[in-house]
Amino acid sequence: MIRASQFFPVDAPRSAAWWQRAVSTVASVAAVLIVLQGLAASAAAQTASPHRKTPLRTVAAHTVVSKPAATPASSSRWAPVTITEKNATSHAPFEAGDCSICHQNSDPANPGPVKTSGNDLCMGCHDDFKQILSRKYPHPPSQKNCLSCHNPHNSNHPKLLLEEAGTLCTSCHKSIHDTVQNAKVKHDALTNDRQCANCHNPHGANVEHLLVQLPMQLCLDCHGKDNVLDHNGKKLTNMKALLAANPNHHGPIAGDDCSACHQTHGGDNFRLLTNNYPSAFYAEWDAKNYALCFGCHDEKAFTSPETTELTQFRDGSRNLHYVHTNKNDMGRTCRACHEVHASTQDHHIRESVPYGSKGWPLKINYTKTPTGGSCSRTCHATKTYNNSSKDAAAKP
Amino acid sequence: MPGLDAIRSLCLLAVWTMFGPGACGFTHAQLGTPITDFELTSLDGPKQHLFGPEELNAILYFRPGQDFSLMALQEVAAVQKELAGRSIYWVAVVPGHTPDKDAQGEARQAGLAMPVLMDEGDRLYGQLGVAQLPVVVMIDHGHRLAAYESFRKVNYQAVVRARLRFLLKEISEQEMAEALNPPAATTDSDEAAAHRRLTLAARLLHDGKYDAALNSVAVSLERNPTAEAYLLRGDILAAQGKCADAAASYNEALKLEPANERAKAGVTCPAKP
Repeated sequence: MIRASQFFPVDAPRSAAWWQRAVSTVASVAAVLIVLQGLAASAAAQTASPHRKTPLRTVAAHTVVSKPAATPASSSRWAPVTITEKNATSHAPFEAGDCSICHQNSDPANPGPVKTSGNDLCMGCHDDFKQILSRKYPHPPSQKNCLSCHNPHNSNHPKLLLEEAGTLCTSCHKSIHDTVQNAKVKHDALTNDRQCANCHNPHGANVEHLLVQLPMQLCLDCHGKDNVLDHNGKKLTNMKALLAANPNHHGPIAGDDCSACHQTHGGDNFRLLTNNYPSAFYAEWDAKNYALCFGCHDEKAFTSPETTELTQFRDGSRNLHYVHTNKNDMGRTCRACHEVHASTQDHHIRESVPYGSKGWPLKINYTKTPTGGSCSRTCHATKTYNNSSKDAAAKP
Repeated sequence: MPGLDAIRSLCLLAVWTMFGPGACGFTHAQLGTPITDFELTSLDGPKQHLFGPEELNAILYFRPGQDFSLMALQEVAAVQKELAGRSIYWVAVVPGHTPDKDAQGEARQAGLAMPVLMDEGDRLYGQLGVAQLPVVVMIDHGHRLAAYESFRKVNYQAVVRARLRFLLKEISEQEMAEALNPPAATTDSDEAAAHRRLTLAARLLHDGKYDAALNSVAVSLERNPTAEAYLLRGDILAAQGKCADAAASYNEALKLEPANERAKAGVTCPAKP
C-alpha cells in the first residue's frame, strides 16, 4: 500500500523556482541542516544500496528546514530533489505545478494523499504500460510499483530514475555488479548511453532476461556498424556486413545467440569469450584450450583417431580432425581452418589463412566433393579425403 | 499415399525455408530425411525403440556434465510438462561413451520424465549429422526429420514449444514465426508519449491551468500531430477566449481527418463554463 506520506513525508512539493527562493532566504540555516540531513541520508542509503557509485541526492531544503530530525531517509526517497545534473528530468505534472493531477489537493503547500494507490495512479496517464507490463517476461519490481525505480516528481537522472541506471539495477542484481567490476575484459555497452537499458527493457520484454530483442539483433545494433571500437580502442569487425557477405553461419549465429560464445556483461577471456579458445594458429593439444568449442562440439570427435560417425572430416575411418589438432607441438587450432562466425564455404572453411609475419593470405583452396573434399597447394601438398569409404589413409 | 507424402515433403521443405535456422555450414540431416528407427539401450536396463506410436517423436540429444546440456534439460523438462497429454513420444539420448549414472542423475534432477537411451556406436549421431549438442530433434509420424533445434541460451523453451505445437497443428505459421522472432520490446514510442501529454493537457484544462495545458498539448503535437491534439488545443484556446486561434486549430484537425465529426462541427467559442 502506497501512502501519501511516502510521497510527501514532511512537506508539500513546490516548483523549482520556489525552492531556489527558499534556499536563498534561509541559506544560512539550511546549509547546516542540509549537511546534517545529508550525512544521515547517506548512511541509511548506503546500507540499503551498497553499490551506489553516484553521489547521493542533495536533500531539498524544505525537507530539512521543516522537520529535519523526523524525516527518515527512506521515506524521502520519492521527494523532489534539487536539480544539479544536465540529464535531469522532471515529471510533466510536477513541472506544470498541478499537484492535483496525482494528489487530492492542488495546493503545493498541502497536496494531501495521492488519489489512487499503486501503479493505477501512474497508468492513468501511462496507459501504454498496461500492455508493456503484461508482456511475456515482465520485470516484477515494475509490476509491483513504478516507484521501485522512479521518482514521481523529478530526478537528476534520465527517466526520473532514483539513481543512475546501472547503479539502480545492480542495487538488486548484485552478481552483475560483481561481474562488471571484476571483469578483465570490459563491455562498454554496460556503461555507455542507457547502460543496462541498452539491451534490457526494465519494464517487460518478449525475450527472456528482459532482452529488448533476440541477442544477435541486439548485438548488431552496435556491432553492425563500421568503426566500432572495443574498450581498449581497437576497431571491431562490422558483423552485419560480415554475416551478409558470408552466408554459411555458425550454429549459434543461426540461432541468433551471440551469448553462446560471448559474455555480454564482461569476462576474463579475449573478445569476451565465455571460455578458453586458442588465440594462435598453432597450439599443443589440450582439450582445456578448446573449452569454448567443446561447450557444443563433442570433444570425442577430436580425440578419436578413428570414427565413422563423429565427423565427416575423415578419410575412410581416419579422423582428420584428430590428425590436424591432436599434436604435441604444432597442433592446428580451430581457427587454422575455420571461420568462427561465418564463411562463404561449407563447414566454415576459411578461404585463406594469415601466413608469415605480415599475415600474407595463404589460400587454402578447399574444394568440396560429394563424398568429402580436398585442400590443394596450401599448408601441405594437395590432399583429398573420402568419407564414404571405410578405408583409411588420405591420398596425396 | 505417395502423392500425399510428396506434398507433405514439399510443405516441410517450404516451412524449413521460411522458419528453419539460417544457413549453417555444419549441416545436419535435411528436413524431410527419413530417420531409421532402431533399438537403443535404456539406462534403466532394457533395450528400447527410438520411436513410439505417437504423432510426433521428440528426441533430446545431450551430453552429461556439459553446461549447455544441463540448461537444455531444464528447458525441455518444462516444455514436456507444459505439453503433457499431447501425442508426443519423448526420449533423451546420450552419446555411447557417456557414464550411465551421470546422464540418468542429471535427467532426473532436471525433472525429465522420459527414458534416457545410449547411442552406442554413435549411430543416431551420425544419422542426424549432429555437430553441436544439445539439440532437440523432432521426427514426424512417418519417421522423417521434421525439425532440428540446436540449443540456444535465450528463449530455447519458447522455440522448442513453438516448433512442437506447430507440428501438432496447434498454432499457425505466423504464431510460430512470432515465437521464433519475438517483436522488439520498445517503450516510450512517440505515439505513447504524445498520448500521455494529451491526457495531461486535458486534466490541466479541466483544472483551469490553460497555459500549462497548451504547453503540454504543444509537446504532444511535436511528437505526434493528430486531429485529437489539434481539437484539444482548440478547446483550450476557446477556454481562454481566443476564438480565432481555436477555430484555426479545429481547421488543422479537419485537414488531418476530414470525416472527424467534432472538427466538422467546429469549436464552441467562447467555451461554455
